Amino acid sequence: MVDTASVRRATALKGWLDELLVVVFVVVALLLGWAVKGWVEGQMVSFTSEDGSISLRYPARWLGQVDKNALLTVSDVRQQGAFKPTFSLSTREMNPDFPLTQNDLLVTLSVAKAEALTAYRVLSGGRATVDGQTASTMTYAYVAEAAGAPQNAMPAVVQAVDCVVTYEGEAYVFTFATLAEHFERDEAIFRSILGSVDFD
Amino acid sequence: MSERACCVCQVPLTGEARTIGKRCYCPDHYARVTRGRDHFWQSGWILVAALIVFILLVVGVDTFAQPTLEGGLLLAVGIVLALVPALIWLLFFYLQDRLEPEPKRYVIGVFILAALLAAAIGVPVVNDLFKVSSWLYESAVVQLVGGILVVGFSQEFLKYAAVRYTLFGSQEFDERMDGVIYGTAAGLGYATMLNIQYVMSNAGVDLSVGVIRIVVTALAQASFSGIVGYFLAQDKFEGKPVWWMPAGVTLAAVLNGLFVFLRDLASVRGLQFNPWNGLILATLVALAILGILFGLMRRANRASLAQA
Repeated sequence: MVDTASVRRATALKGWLDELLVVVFVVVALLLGWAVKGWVEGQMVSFTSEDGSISLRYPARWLGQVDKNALLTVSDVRQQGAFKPTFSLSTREMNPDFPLTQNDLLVTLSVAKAEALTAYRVLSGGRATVDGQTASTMTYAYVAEAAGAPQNAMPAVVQAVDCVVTYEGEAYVFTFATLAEHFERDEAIFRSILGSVDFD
Repeated sequence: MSERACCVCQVPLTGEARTIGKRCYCPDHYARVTRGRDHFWQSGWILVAALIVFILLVVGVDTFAQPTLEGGLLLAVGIVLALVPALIWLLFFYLQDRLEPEPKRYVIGVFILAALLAAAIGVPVVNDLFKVSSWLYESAVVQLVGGILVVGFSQEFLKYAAVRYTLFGSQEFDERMDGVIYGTAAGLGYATMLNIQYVMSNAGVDLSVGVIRIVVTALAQASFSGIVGYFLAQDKFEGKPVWWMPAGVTLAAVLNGLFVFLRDLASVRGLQFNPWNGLILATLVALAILGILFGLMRRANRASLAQA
């Protein structure tokens, strides 16, 4: 004999099982997500500036390069091609008496690079967000020769982006450059590096 | 002598009871659960159209009037924009009042609860605990997998919880359509909080880009939680197997993560962002999901009536 109370208990038990299974699914998914996070972060190396004002993470497989004008310069030397994807971070102290806007800084950078780089062309400008701070960007292209390349090697067309953020009286310039044909593929790494930036 | 009870009102049933799957119903609730409410779906299409018109209006004002908004005024305008999609939906829902006797306080209650869950749990879990911005964009595969596992599951579970642990067992949840209505309300509540958080974290937004992103978020979140609502309704009124609800939440989570992945693929080139591609994708997704849910509901109601 089945009474109403038994039916209700069975229904309630089934409801609890449903809920428990949903919670189990969600917990397992989040744990797997945590494992993915851990795996990705294991592939990244932390960098912190000497004064502790900025930290970020970059791919562990990228190697540091000597650059006295930058806080950090790293390249993916294992990539094929005449020009290796390169990321650099540099700073410029802002004069509080003559504050420059981010666009002013980009123009200054652009003028300097136009003189230093072969066939320099500005492609576009834009905006971004770095650790909650508004940033100005400029994408450009130029022709470069790979270091140590033979005389008859073809020069490389490089596409790069400068991203300028001003924070607490200092301007931070994040630069990413790679072969133009690989730019859309490689810029995801730049976005990942920018996403890890932490201003202290 | 066996005695059965209506699965909605628990009133003991004497004589021959109407059944759908494993569930028994009294005559009154049987008539309700199989009600089609086609006008809800019509208002759904109209809602999507109204949101597109809203976007065009804001973009038009931003393009031609070029208002100068700064500081607190920019922030206030951004917050108003974040609230508009939900207000439009609630307005359409209220206008259906003469046909849809759904208690408005319950719909608004689910909306508010989902928004609170987003603020208290959803956003902190994704942004502070998992810190997705620092690793999710490492590669396309990581973005897709991480987007589903972390963002998709956390968002869809909280929207599911907003309905499941409140109205699901109540007598107000007495029609299949209620699942989609309450699910959609939860999705809009969640989206509204995401949009407010987006405006606040950027201290205001560019009007054109911001309004598109706000509407895209609202359409997407409402669509996916509509799916969860459908699964809830089918579980309540047909007594589905124990794997049914986990499958529903998983489906919504996968669609959520896949949508964000495809939206970024369509919208982002380098550090440049073209929001219109994301809007087209969101509109197509919302209309497709609306259409599929409409078809599934209609088929389920017809099957139930044919069985009777």
